[in-house]
Amino acid sequence: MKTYTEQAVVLGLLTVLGATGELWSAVAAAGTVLLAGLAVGLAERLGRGLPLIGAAWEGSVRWGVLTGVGFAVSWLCGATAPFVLPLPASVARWIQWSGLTPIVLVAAVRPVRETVRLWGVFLCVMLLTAAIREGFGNGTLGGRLAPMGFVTPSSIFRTPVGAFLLAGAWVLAARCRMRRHMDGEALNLA
Amino acid sequence: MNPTLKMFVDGWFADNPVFVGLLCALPALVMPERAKTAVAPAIRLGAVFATIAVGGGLLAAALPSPLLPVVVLAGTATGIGLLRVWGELRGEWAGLPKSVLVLAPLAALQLRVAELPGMAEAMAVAGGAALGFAWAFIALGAIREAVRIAECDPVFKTLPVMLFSMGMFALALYGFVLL
Repeated sequence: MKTYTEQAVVLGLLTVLGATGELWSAVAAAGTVLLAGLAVGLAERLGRGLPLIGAAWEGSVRWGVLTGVGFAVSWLCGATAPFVLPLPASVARWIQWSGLTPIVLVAAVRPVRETVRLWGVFLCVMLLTAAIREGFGNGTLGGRLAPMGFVTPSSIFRTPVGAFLLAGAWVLAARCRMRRHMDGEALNLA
Repeated sequence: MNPTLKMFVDGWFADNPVFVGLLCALPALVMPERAKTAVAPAIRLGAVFATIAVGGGLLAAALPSPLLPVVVLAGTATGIGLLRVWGELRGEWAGLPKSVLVLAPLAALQLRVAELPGMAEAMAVAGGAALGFAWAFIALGAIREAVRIAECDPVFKTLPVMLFSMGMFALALYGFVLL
């Protein structure tokens, strides 16, 4: 995985595919992933830093605790999100599972700067995917009639078909952009 | 068709956990390298998914709801342990232990089974999902193998083509949803 977009799509695949049917669902799921990620990062630093735990902070214990922290945060977010945002009931499940996606756990293994950049790209991917899926699939944006609302909604965008095709399109676009950038650098050197 | 049998068959196609349910999309996208070498992992993963889904799901349904996340996490850890004993999920992926690939599928399948009314339904859904996952896993292994040796532009290789292929599978399986 070379580009940040590629990493964001694959590491957060469950959320990118499942929670981008509507814009508010994507906002809630992305927010949950970021909160769970922050909690995991904090737990990792605490686990490493405390002298009593530090020695045992390896292998299964470490990953068990970090997974538990991520899942606990996303479970709570999934239970509270429908009271805060206008979400369909089925989305609460995707929010509850989002704490188990690998993108939450990267906070424990990568440098802070790299993790923040990855999460930023993930947030953009989530919001763009949701805007396209809801806009073209339902004719609305955030539940309100979209500017392109006069277009007949194409329900394929709301199905997993649209989710897979858009995820593939982001990866392909990122790779094409990187190649163009590299070709440009090669031309400058020549 | 008998409703329980329909639940079982739906797991293969109309409610496939990789292409339609999406719960198991990540391990199926990342793990299979070739069709031939994907058969054994597909059987092992499918068997563990079904066992943990039934066991954890029924236990979670029987206990008070505040204990649900704890039971699900314990079931997930047991599933990962079983797969490791069976020789799967060794090594790292993207800097993380490879077991992170099956965290969400194991937990989500247990939660799904916990919502079902009885043992027969639980076994039908878990068994159908396991078989649906297994054939999807092997099919994606074959696609990855074909993409790797194909004479195409490198930007298309592997991940974009895999995701587009999964979209096409989902489109085909939606025909069963409409039936």
